[in-house]
Amino acid sequence: MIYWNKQIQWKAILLGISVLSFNSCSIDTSRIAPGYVEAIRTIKDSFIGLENEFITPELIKNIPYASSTLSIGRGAPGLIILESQDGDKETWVSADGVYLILEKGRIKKTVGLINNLVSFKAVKNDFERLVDSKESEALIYYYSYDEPELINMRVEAKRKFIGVEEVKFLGFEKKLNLIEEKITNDYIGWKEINKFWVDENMFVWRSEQYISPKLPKFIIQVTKKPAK
Amino acid sequence: MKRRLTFIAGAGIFTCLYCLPLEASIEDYFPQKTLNAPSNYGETGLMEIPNAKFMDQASLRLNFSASFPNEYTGLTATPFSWLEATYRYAEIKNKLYGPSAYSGNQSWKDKGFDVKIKLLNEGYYFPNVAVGLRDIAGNGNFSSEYIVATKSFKNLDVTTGVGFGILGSDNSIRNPFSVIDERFKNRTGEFGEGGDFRATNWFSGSAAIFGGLEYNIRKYGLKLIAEYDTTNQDISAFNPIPVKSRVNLGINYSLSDNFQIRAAFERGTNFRIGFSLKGNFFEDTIPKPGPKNVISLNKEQKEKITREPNIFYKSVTKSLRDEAIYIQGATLEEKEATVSVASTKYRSTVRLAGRSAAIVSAIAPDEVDRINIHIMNGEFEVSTFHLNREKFDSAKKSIGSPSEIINRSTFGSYSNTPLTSNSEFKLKYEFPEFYWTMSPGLKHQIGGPEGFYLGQLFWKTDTNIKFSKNLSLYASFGINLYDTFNDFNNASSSEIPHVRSDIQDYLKEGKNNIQRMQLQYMFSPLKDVYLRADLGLLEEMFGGVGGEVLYRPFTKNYSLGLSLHKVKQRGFKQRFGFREYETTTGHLNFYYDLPYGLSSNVSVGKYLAGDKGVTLDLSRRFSTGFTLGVFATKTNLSVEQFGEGTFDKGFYLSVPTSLFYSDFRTGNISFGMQPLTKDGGSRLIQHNQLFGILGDSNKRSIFRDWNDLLE
Repeated sequence: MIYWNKQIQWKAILLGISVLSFNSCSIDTSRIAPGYVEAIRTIKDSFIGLENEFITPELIKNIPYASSTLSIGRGAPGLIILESQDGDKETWVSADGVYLILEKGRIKKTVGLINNLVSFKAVKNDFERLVDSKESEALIYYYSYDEPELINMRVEAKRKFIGVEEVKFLGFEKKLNLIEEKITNDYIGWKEINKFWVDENMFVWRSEQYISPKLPKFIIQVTKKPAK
Repeated sequence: MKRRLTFIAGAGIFTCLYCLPLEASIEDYFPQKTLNAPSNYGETGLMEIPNAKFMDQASLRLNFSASFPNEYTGLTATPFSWLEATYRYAEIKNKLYGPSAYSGNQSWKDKGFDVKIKLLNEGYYFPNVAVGLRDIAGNGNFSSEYIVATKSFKNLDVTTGVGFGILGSDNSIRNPFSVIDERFKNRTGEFGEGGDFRATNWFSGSAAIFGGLEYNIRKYGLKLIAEYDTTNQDISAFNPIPVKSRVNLGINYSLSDNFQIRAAFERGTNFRIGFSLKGNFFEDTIPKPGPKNVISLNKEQKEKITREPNIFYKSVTKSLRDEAIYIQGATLEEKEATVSVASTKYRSTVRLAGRSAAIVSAIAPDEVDRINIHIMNGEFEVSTFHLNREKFDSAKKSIGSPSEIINRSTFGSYSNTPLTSNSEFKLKYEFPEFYWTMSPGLKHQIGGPEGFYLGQLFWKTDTNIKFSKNLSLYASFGINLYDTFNDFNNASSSEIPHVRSDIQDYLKEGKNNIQRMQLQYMFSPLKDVYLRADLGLLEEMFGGVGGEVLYRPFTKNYSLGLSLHKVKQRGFKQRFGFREYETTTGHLNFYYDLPYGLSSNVSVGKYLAGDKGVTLDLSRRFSTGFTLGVFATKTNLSVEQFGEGTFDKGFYLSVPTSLFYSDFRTGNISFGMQPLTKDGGSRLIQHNQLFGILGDSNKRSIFRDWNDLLE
């Protein structure tokens, strides 16, 4: 799974600009092997993002497990497989050893990232009544992380039902309810919007989630729904 | 009452101590960090004045800062946490580059090089202290030296220092070094052609106390800056400009950990805007996939392999290919499995050896207790790992560690008797083999009188015909797509043979060119001795015959090389024609690995223009492969013969592209800078330099990267 964060984007741009503008008056290429192709490719990837053309409906069909696509930042979507299920708690794993523990579609724990969500606590973690009531709901979340360690960062959340949207999946389309969730920590100035697309049974088919101020957006889209 | 106060104080201290780690922890999570910002000139600082802060080591920052009349563009690097080096272009918009007949209406451009060295790390009581030099070896327009201290008080950074040269223009104090020596009282005239360090001027002449404040509003990524500017540009001998206020005010906004924008109001008269981009390459922050899981064969299958080794060779070949590792030869014996491998995916030979060994171990019969991995790079076998299988397998199962493997393993180099020459399983070749690649390319001329930037976009085709394992014909062709080289009108006035300074003619007339057409023969005649012979169009400006020999004792930290070529200058069109000038050029090279990832190269010999001298090259390679280096050449040419610059010098850097991807790859984004293209101290460009192929595969490199073995 390839993922890009802002840092990497800027690194790439820096390199690109440097390569383009700072090559020398000299043509002593023994010291100055030009890397234009690599630089251009890197910049292109950082702006446009990466694609993964290997994930096809046939591939999904042939895998005997529930699966989803996960992209982090501008990274190419990679396939994650449902490794185990314990009630609402689902453990998903990617080929490169990133584990995500999801509960009702929300990422509650990660393993294998440069900065991991160790725990997520909330009084309420479902979207019951939000769609019907059409009213916004205020909640408090507590996020804990490793590297660097941070315990129980308080985050205020305000969420509401936005409307019904048609979402394209790999080989099918679905009409889903979009719920938007604004999360805020005033002290550090972290403000993001999470999005969840849920069906009438409150199953999250697609989500865009920010789980740490240090990580880019996680986009998860179900390709084969777990059996209950 | 006293007890109560003691309790409150104790509780207070406890609370503070308890709260500190918590606060420190959330501080790390500000989405926008208020970064150490660059000064106008590029080094970490405020606006006109520097501070004593530094970027983290292995950082690279591009800085742009524009105002009237001075605009700066610079690149700053930190080879060590205590050293910042900046290369900068200044544009002086209210001065012309030269007479209009010479350079039209192009504004004045000035190159500059700065260094800043940390003397003291900030502690609870003590500030960061640094010493720095601006515009070293320049023509004096911005030359300054300073000693500066910065102390942080929560969100407030306080900076104060003593400046000399331009930074000491305020002349507010007596030069403190004049107590040591009278010569520090005066600074000699500094305007000239540049290139000379003029060290006798450093820290001399007028001195001034400068200072400033930086207030960080971290929540918003903002930094408010105020400074007392002692450059007194209104009394500048070079370019006086009005100054209404010595206090400059600025604001800096960090959009991310790597990108900042800023605005300032300077001298009470002018606004300045700027931005900076930063990258840190000390660690690879993108996780890479681990070794692929190889399913071990069962007992029956292994018995079959013992009877029919071809099954072993085929299985190993296929499994290695899945890891982008290509088998070059293999031999299966009763107690040993030996495989020769090559890969363009892994930078670390240790990782290549570890992944290969894991595959061999999974497939080899149980009786095998030693796994030998021979590493190939191009035509050469560069190193061999003799691994204890039991220890290796235990470590793979997390029962042991890489350190335990190293204690039971040996390493060697058998360059003149590579496994591929006598292995039981050999690759079949069908010579001649033909390879080609195509890519766009750019050529530049920066800072010339005709225009600040002249360039060419061209299409480059590289071909390689391999006639045998050791003999290849390399050719590179360039086809022009777009260029601005017709504007050149500044012919070389060099008094010595024009071996490089006719570059304008080469660029202008050779837009569609044969960059290289070279026959190369490479082999290892003796253990640890490597040889390369060249014939043909060796580079864009020279063709001829010659070669290189390198002695690289595998277990030592040094290498010794000799290169010798008889060359003739190529025609400007860069086809098959030659000019009259010919010479013999050659160098004796001594390479030595120093501690802290430092590598040095001393090269003594005769250069292309017939001058004789020495080139020193010093670089630091970080564990990620990120490399920063400097070089300088001094030959027997007089300063007048050499011309502007006094002697040849420059810097280079190389960033591995794998730092941007979630998989291994060996590509680099490399660039370098030689401020001036001069004839003196110019060397022949040699492709496939032997040290480049072999330098990073000796025993020291293996020990350095040993932790890659199981990753």
